[in-house]
Amino acid sequence: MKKEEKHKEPDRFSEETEKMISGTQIHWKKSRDEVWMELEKKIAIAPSAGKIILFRPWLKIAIAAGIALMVGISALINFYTKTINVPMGQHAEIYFPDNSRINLNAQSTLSYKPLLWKFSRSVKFEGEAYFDVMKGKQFEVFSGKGKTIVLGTTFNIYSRNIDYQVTCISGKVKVSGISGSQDVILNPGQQALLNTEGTLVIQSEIDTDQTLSWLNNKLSFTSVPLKKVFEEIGRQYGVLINIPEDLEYTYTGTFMKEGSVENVLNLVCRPFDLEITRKADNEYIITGNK
Amino acid sequence: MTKEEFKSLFDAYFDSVRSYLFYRGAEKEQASDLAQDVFLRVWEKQMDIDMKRALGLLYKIAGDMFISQYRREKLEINYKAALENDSVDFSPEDQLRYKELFSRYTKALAALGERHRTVFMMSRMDGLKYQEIADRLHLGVKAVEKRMSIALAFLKKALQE
Repeated sequence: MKKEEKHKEPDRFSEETEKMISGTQIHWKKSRDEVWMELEKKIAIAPSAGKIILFRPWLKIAIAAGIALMVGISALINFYTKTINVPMGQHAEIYFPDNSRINLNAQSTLSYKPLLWKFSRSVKFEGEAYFDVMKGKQFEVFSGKGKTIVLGTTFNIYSRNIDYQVTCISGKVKVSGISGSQDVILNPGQQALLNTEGTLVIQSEIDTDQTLSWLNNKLSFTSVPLKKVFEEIGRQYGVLINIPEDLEYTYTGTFMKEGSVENVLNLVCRPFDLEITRKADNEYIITGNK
Repeated sequence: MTKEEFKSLFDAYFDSVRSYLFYRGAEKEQASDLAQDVFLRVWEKQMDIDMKRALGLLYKIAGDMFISQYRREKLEINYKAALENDSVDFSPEDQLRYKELFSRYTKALAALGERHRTVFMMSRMDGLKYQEIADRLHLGVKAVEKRMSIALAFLKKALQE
């Protein structure tokens, strides 16, 4: 290997420095031949039979298969999603791998990735549910109208149609509107809800027992538009209730779910002078008396 | 691999591998021992070395061995003791200046990052072309050029001060 071989270098040293560098040598204590003598003694013992060929063709295939398998497994982990659909008239209780619990109200949908749970506690959710989240990493709930982030708390989310209400029962809860720009932090007893302009407002001193009354099969309404009351009754009993368009009343009242749907409908309808007609096994028509 | 083949591999590349280990930061004796181990391993494993790829493979083994050794004992790089300059046929004044410059050079070498120093020394001490360095270190020529220009800029600054 010659020293004269030159490269096109934009940056050379002064002649003096170049001379010095090229005149620099390493003075080895052992010459190559001396090292060889030593090495020869060592290899006398080592076997020399048989050749090991690196990268046999099947090895390449095996490696390719291995990579494909790994990609497959990671895709599986990434895409494997568990979805829970709770139909009308039913409730459900779900436990996540870390023992966080969710109670789902009727007609709610929840999906999450169980294999990724350790790394990201993130669920998609529509409907109404009570969350009891174990302390740990960030827990995220994505709904159509907003996002709720907690570390380890209990809270209730109501996300149906245009409504999005998050009620904090214990700990701290962060709620973001769909735009993402607006964050609110809730303390126990506070509720965030989307107003008609689509911005999140906080309401304090919420009666959390009432918010969670559904957990005890209790239906509790405070100044709720009658239309929503019928929706909720239909949801809880799994029946279809047809109502007239022009129901402007609001309703306040509490009743247990034990009674039959007809009893409950009677309770609600009587004060407003509404009439109930049974159309089919699980279909009722409400008509106003004008 | 027959012993003759092994010997020719050894003769062809032992010096470069040993120098390479030294450039990386091994002590002189250590570089000799490690380089010997590199060839011993090739022999023991009876690697079917295709001559075209042999150099790159040897450098790879050497680099890996150096790193595992380096992890065991954190090395103090001392180029001053290891490098020698044989420019002696100058006036005493010149020699003094040379000595001064040389000590600055060895200090700068020790201060230079390992990757940059290795490429620089392979170029200047072994007189390798960029393409050859790139092949041995499994790098792109562009990467070698980049490391070279960084090393040159660094040393230039250190020597001008």
